[in-house]
Amino acid sequence: MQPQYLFRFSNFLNRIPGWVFVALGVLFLHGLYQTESCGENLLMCGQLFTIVLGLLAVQGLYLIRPWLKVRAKILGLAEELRLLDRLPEIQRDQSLEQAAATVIATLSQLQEDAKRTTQAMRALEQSQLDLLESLPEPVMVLDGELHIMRANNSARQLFPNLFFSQSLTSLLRDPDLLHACQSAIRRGDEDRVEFKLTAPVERVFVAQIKPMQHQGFGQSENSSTLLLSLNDITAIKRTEQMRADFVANVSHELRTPLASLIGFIETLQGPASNDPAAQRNFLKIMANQSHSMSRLVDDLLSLSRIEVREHHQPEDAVELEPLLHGIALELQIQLQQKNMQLQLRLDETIPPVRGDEDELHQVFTNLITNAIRYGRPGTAIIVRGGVAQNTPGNYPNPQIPAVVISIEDQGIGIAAQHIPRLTERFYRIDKARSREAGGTGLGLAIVKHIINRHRGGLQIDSTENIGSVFSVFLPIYGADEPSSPAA
Amino acid sequence: MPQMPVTLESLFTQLAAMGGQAELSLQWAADMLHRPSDSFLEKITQLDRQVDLSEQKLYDTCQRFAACHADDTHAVHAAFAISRFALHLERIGDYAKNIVQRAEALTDHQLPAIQGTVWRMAQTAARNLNQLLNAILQQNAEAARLAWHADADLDAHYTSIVLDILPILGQRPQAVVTATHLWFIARNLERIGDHQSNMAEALYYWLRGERLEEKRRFYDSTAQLTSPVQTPLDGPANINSNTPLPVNKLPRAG
Repeated sequence: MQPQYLFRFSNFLNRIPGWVFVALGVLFLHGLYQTESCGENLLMCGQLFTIVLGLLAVQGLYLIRPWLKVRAKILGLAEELRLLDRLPEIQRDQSLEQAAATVIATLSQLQEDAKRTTQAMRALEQSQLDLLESLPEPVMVLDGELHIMRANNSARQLFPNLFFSQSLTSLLRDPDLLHACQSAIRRGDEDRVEFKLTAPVERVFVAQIKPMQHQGFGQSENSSTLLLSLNDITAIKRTEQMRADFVANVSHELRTPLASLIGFIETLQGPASNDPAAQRNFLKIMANQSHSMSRLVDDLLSLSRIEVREHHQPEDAVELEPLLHGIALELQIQLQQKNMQLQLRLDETIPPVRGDEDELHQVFTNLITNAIRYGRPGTAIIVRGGVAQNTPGNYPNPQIPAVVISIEDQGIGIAAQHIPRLTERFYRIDKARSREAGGTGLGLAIVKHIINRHRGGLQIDSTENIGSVFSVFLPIYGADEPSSPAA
Repeated sequence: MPQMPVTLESLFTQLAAMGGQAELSLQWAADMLHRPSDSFLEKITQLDRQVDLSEQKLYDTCQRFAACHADDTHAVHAAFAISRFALHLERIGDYAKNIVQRAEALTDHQLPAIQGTVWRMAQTAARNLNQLLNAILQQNAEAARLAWHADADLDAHYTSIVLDILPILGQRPQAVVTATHLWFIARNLERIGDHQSNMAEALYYWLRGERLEEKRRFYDSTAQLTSPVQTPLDGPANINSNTPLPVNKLPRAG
């Protein structure tokens, strides 16, 4: 029988209520009784036989009803599977067991397929998450109330305090940005907003706000989410600014020594053209001045270079102990000239710091050179080093442990009102003395900018006529790994 | 009509929005000192109006919040603290507006060095405000303590600027207007720093339930200045040698 006929027949049988069979049975039994009561005529036996047969047939149909139902179901399923191209046609002569076995085998195969598809989908989702994770620009997924539902690696680098379901406003509060996010959620507008981040280092970003309507990232259906990606344009802005500042600084600071050089040259050409003694004297001064001008240009250039990449924290591990020992050797001659000693009192083990070795070399060279310059002859410069117990207010991420290197000199010291301004470019407490000592007025500005770039801190303590302590705080390498990635 | 109950989160959202406005005002003030642009004056007037409105709205929301949760001590504390923050932020916005107005008048660049220092002071103030607001919105008492200490830097800057401006007032009459503007800008920034340290104290008290009692590294000591001030032609002013500038003894690093 074709499965569809069987199915229809079984359906028909199953639709007949049970009491119909009971009633038919009663009817036949009633006929039987009447036949029996008819009497002794054995000729009536044929009728009796028909009635019993009918009774058996009706009750038989009642009994095979469930079996027919099962068979119809199996064959129907087989038919459907065949329509899905998943099953060879079931032969008519196959037994029910064989058909059932085929169907079950096919079904388990289907289940297997479904599992494989789910795995493939999961892998696809994971690869998309990895893609998001590895994007160089900070990307965050926000829910309708601006909670951070997901943030990629660079976003966690930008905001070390970031945690799951934190409100965006505890990190970014620019009015234009918040307005754009609100209108993206309410009306689904895409937008671009430029904004500035002041701490720890000033950075400029263009935020791209994109509403997403699909479900995903573990969200329930119909929740509106925002994709916020930040494009760092600090480098472009800084390059523009650097050019302007450089021109202004160079023209301002080089004008004075240039004017005096021109004056000397004119004197050499005119009044002093026949005076060898004056010529020797002037040429010596001119040589000094040109050297200090060239030092100034060098310092201005290195300051500009550091400023341009100040927003980008260096990533290498630097061992400070060999670095400091190296600097101590390099400065031996200058130390001997003033009959000074450099004492390195470093802790047994100083963990490596996260930084750029050349720049840190410049920081400690500048600080120790200053200590030599402003220390009293014959005194000692003490360099201490170890893990910092606590960090100063200008250390941007206090949760990251720091190494502190402090350089202590015994000299004239610095009055308290000068301390906050020491790291300004060209700020000199005593102009004549600084020039005489060979300073360009940029040494501490360079130190400050390098430390900023390292996300470190600088603390200056000084007592007049006793001495000064410059303490440099640098983040320990590997201590800033986010302990648990956001969701 | 019954009003929707106010949640603590909505209070924080409003506070953050207002903080963002105050931050932007201060940022504009700093930009104006470094690279003057004529388009800021109108913008800052508008922004200041927004800050005022935010303050009024936030105050109302705080009242409603306290009324909704009158039997919850923590909620009432939060309402008080947040309304206090709003008041301070409103003052900071006002000072920032005043700085932009004064910076507008500083077109002659007679004192570029001092103006540079004032600009750096403004940047420090903006950075401190950013860190303080992060501390508030992340409910971080330790960050509040650091923000409180960061005010010392502004005080030290202010003292240093005043000591530089004083001799100019005596010696360069043609620069007096510029010097006065710079003095007032520095003064405004110093006031902004005080508002910030008050906010940091309030935050610490709210979170920890105890007062922040530590020694600062530096206090503004210009209030103890005495006349006559020696005014040498070159370099910063010295204070009369009989009354040395009282400066807290500085702790050694360690």
